[in-house]
Amino acid sequence: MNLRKWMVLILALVMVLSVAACSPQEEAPAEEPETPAEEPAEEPAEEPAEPAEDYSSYPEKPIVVFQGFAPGGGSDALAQLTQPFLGEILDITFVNQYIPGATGAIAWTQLAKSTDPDGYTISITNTPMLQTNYIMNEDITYNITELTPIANVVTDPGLIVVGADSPFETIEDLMAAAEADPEGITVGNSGVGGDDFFSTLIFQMETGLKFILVPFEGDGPSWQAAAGGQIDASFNNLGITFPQIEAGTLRPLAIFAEERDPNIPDIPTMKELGYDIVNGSSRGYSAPAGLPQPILDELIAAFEEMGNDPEFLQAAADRALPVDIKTGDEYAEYLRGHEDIFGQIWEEVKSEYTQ
Amino acid sequence: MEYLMLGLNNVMTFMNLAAIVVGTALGLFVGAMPGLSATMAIAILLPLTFSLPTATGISMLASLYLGAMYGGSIAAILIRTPGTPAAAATVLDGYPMAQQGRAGKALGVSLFASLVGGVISSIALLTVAPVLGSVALKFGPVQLFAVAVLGITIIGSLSQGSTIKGLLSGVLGLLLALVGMDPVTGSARFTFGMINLYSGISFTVALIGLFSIPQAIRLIEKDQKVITQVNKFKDRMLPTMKEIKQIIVTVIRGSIIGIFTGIIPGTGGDTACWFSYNEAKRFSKNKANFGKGAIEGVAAAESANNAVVGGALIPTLTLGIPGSSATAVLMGSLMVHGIMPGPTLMTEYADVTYTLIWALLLANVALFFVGLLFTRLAVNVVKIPNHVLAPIIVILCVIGSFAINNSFFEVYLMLIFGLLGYLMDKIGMPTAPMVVGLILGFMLNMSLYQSLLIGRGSWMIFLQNPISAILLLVALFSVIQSTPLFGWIKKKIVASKI
Amino acid sequence: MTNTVKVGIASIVAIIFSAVLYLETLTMSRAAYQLPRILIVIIILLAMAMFAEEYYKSKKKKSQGTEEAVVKQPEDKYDKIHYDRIAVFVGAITVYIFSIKILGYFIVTPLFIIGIFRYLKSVKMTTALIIAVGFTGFIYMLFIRFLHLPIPITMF
Repeated sequence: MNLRKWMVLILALVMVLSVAACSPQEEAPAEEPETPAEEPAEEPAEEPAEPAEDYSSYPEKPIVVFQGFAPGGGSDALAQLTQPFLGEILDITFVNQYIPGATGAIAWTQLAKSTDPDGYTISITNTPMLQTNYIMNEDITYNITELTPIANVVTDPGLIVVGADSPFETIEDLMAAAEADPEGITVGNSGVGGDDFFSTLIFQMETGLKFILVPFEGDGPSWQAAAGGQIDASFNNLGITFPQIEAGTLRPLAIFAEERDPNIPDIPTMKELGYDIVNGSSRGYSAPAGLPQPILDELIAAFEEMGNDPEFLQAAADRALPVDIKTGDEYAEYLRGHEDIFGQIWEEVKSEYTQ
Repeated sequence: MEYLMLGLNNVMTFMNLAAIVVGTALGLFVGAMPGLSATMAIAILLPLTFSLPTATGISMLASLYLGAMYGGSIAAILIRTPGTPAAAATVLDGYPMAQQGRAGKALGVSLFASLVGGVISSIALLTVAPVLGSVALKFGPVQLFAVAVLGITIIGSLSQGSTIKGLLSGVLGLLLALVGMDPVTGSARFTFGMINLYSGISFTVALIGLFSIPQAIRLIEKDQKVITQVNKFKDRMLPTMKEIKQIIVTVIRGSIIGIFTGIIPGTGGDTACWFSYNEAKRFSKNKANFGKGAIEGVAAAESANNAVVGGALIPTLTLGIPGSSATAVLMGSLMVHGIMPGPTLMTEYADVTYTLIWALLLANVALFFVGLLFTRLAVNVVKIPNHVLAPIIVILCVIGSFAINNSFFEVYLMLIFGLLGYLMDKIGMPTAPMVVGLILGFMLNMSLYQSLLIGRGSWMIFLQNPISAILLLVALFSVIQSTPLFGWIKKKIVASKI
Repeated sequence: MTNTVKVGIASIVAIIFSAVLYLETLTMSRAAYQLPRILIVIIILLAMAMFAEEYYKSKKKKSQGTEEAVVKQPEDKYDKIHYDRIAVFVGAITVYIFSIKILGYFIVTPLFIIGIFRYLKSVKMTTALIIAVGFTGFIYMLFIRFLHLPIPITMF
């Protein structure tokens, strides 16, 4: 090889290197040598920040956000809604990294097991999949103690809907039918392990009724089957079915929230009827365990500021995403509480599914 | 009616027309890259449209979808690598055509078929959408099961040479589709402890591996002939009147199949192209030509996958039910713009909706001209020597399969499928049935159990519903048709007439 | 290797593969194992049928005697399959894929292209360099600059 050719080769290498160096994706997951290795073991909530560390400049580069689902789904909707507001408050940009697979478990395993808690890599976390993934599958080994919950942003309450042509006008009708024909009423859910699946199980336990649970691949096919009359009812979510309720394609029977929803004020909560059924699907943000307290505080402040911004609330309402800001310890408590509930329910019904 | 004119008025601004042309060109380009599907293209480019007015942004995304559907055929024809899963069936006849020095013609037929498919489906969307939209709600688990069974009968007709080998390939595909989280029990099947397998084997990954890697190996396994014979032919791109006559029935049939496959939620271009290909072959007088460079084969697949665009938008716009995964993302983009997708789209947001529909219609025109231009450039790929092309194909496959889930696991899986595809080739086992199996396996499993749950365990449920009963009858007919028995009956009938 | 042997090996591989998956189904619940087991049985039957078909075909051919020799195509220099080349190529692809994780896509890709080109002697070194750099640059522009897809660019 002559000299000229070598020159070209070196030039090419330099080009490739410089290309690599200026990419944002490469920086964030990289090791941060300043962070001491033992830090993740400590309880960030109890101890003040280590004096040696100075986090006042955080954040100074783009924050990578893992998404456990494909672009265009519910997680992405949350990301697109929140990031413009958060970006402005924190004065940085976000880089979304889509790592779909195993209902989010691949992204969350990576977050929990191999991501530095430096505040530059966080993830969108969805309840109940965040917990049910490892409750139901022993191959999935992360758990919520390996995460630092930052903030919950939206909670879409569960509800029961039937098709417009359904004979069931009220929740009482449906319950009476289920009583008359035990294990004869078919109800759809968004998939085994999803929030609607657990809503149905909680419903059965609280009321003592029995349904035939028909799993679908997501909320959409589930309500569509109810609207088409292929199943008797669908356990679904308000935000997803609201346009159809408004248009009269679907009829809501009851909602699994603490209080009635202003969008459908005539529909009773199950609590009013004397059954303690409150469930829904939530989406928020979490970091790996051991996130330094100052960084967590900074992020929490940003989420709280966003939650008070009327423009944000309007944008969320436009997309039918019911805002439910819970930050820090409150969010952590929420995740733990649901982990217990889902764990207990799964223990009870596990044998039906694994035998 | 007034909405119709309003939409036409709206779309005729410089900004909107520019968005349509840019969207089509982008879609064409992204669609031509293996691994980057139409759905991904829309999702990735979605943020770019945020700053645009609603109607403009949505029009751009719809044009993108249409462009990607044609773009997929370019790589399928030139390098035997389907750019999108919807172009998988195009490979079967498109690549043999390219080998015979008719690459330009194959691309021209594909473009013509795409144009007709796109226009017919856009017109259907513009005129009879509310009528057809209700079809979407009629397709529940029971009917989807029948669709899956009908799809499986395609496997038989895809097996050239040995039916046994074709069936084996297809059933292996069905079994591989069951890898992952079982939808009925939520437990993992055949994942061997790997959580990357929980969401199953992505058929896009399998497709890239099965078609492209064997192709790359074939390109290098022999010495290069000094002059490629391709240049000798000066082939005209656009089909002649005679050829149009030859394919027009196929194209129209493909368009109708595409529209309906689009309407049915859960099936899209990846299924439609196979259905259309199969029907084209069934009704063709010279079945033997299929798989050896028949222009009807290319026309069937490509008219169907472009017709899916309009078809899939029908339930999306009339009911708020996405007809395909790409329209699901499109629906998400409406929400970003503050429009709740649902039955009110055609009334409350009629200005945006009808602008979108007109944009789609015009995007077909844009596609034709942009496509002509792009294809003229792309056809030069056949002049690249085999030994140069091979590593380039490998690189595209690697980056494409990585991009699907942003993980290396898919790249390893792609390589495994690639080697499998090469070995299958060596024993004369076709790979296309395996792809069909992979596409339909999960749907078959899911809908079967859902139907049995709904039918309280009775298999009669499939016959009680008219739609599923008819589809299953057609499937039964297809099976009988491919056995010697049918030939015997046919002979008897002919004999009795004499 | 004759076709019969090849097909025989393929049948055995398919049967072993099915057997392994069948063992996996033993720990599954009824709803989960039903369909896979049906498919596995079909695969085993088809694999055996495939071998039988091939075996009878070859027997038929043999009984027809010398015909096979006539059918054999005249040896063309360009029809020879270089199995060594296939082995190297597949090996190179494997090394390429695994080294992306360590060195990064934009370093390994030009090296892979140049390496293959040199091995196949397909183009001159200068051309190889231009193609390698140009194509890698194209991928970079498309995936990173334009589509903002994360491509593994691990640095040392």
